[in-house]
Amino acid sequence: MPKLKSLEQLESLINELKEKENKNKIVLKVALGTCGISAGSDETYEELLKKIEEENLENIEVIKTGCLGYCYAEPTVEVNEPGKEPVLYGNVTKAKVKDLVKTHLVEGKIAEELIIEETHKKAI
Amino acid sequence: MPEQVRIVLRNAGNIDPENIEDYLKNNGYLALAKALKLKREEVVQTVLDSNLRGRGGGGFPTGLKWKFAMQAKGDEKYVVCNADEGDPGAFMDRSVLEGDPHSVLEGMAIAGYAIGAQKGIIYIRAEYPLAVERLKVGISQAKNYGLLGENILGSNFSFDIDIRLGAGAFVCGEETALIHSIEGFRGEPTNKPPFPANSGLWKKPTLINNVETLANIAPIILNGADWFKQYGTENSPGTKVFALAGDVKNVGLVEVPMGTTLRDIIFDIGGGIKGDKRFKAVQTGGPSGGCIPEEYLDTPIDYDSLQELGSMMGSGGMIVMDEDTCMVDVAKFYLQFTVDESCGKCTTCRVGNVRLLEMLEKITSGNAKMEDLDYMVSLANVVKNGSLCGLGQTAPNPILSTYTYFEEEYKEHILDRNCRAGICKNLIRYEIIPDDCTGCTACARVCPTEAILGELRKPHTIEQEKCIKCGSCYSTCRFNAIKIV
Repeated sequence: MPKLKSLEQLESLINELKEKENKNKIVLKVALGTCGISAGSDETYEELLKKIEEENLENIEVIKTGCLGYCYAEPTVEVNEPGKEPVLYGNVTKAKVKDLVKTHLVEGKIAEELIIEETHKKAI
Repeated sequence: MPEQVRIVLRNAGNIDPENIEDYLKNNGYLALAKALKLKREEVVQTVLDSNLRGRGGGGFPTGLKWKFAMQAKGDEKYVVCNADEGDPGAFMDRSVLEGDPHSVLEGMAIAGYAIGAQKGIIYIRAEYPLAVERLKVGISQAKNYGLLGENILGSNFSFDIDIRLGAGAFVCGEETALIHSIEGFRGEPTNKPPFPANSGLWKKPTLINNVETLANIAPIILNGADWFKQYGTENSPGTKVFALAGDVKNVGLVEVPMGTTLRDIIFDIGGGIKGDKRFKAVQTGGPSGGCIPEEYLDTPIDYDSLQELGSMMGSGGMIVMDEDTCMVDVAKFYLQFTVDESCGKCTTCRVGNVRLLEMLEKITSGNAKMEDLDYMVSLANVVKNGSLCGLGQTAPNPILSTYTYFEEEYKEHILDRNCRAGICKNLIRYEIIPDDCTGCTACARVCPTEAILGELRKPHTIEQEKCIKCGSCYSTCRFNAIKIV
């Protein structure tokens, strides 16, 4: 990556990154702050990758994020589907990943028993 | 339900903290680019106009700090990020650094441009390895993109950031002690003035801001002071991140506009008290703060209102306590912490706090007299007024606030030799209720001193001489057959 030399270059890079993004992809966000990791979210992350591959699911990206703030419900996984409100799941231990993938990603239903209510909005 | 508003945590949990492109996609570093097009004075003025107050605890106006550092003479200046989060129960700064390191790096670079510094240093606890790792990744990515380093975005401004690990002393969060620690000396505070803005790190003008303060900067520059002021109260605009912990159902991070009430945070966002027990008090501000009782739950919280209640905002730790908490014991816990962490430089803090701790021990062990209480309060005020730095000056707050709101409990310990919460070991006894005991032997099996006797299927008894009051039997019994008297 060549160094950015001006505000204009930065703006065009930002626009390029925004445009490049695949808007049709499902994004799963696994919170991997210290609190999440101590609750086993790194295992949840690995298991998600494994199960998604086993089920031959395509167009899904799993990303590692920092703490989302719901430490009491770690590990947490947020499912972002194009055109839909994000769904936040709590206490998604390694053992529960299989159910989550099957219910939400294969059958397309909300895994009600794992859902936690989200209460925040972004100011920006 | 009161809504959380995320300014500081705008990206935390939403982006990959180790991928700068994710940060850029959310308009990352645009505020820095915008600042570089402005005059330094204009950047400082925007921060001044926003009325942002330092999120490290004291609530000093950030813009004023920036202005002093900008006006200070010197060709070499420093921006220091205080990431030495040492309050028991607080984890706001860690979460920001782990979840969105670039927001802090960008804030530092803007500060560096505004005051005329070329060098930034993040002073962070060594106990936060993941945050350190993510900061390192962030710094190197920003450098690769020309967003840190020489001639940022083609301008004349160069700014580099280094990381220094703190050895884990609470006092090192205090500005002057922090500076000494970075310089390689013992982390001991010195008198102010001179303030770091004029003579800080290596005697050069130094701007010290906390993690959360810095994370607020980019959005303020990008959206303007008026945008920021629409959140929060007049004297404390913006939001505050709280680390909600203790006996509350939803332990976690909460970011709310200033002026939200304690009740909203604890009972709505926090989901109320664990096990549906009764709320007793909430501790804010860490060892420098105090305990707030139920009658003040509807106070809109900002810097000033918490101070009026004898507590403080601190960095934002919020520990909820239920009815099973002994307030004298809580004061003892915080005093023990301060005694352990006192650097020992000034007598009031080094000796005064130890004496205060001894008095609390006397009270909780049932050996105190009523006159000890007066002595305790007057000594607490001596420590408060006579200590050199913020640590000593605030160390008696946990005692004073619990004494103000829970004086009855102090008196009960002394006069009735009774701890109503059943916490102070010398004042309680475990007994088995014969009618409720099924003789299941579960308690006898967990007792580490074999103090419980009895035959299978017959009521058991506790030999008080052998009992060390560890409470294992109490928490093991499934029939509520053990009582604390």
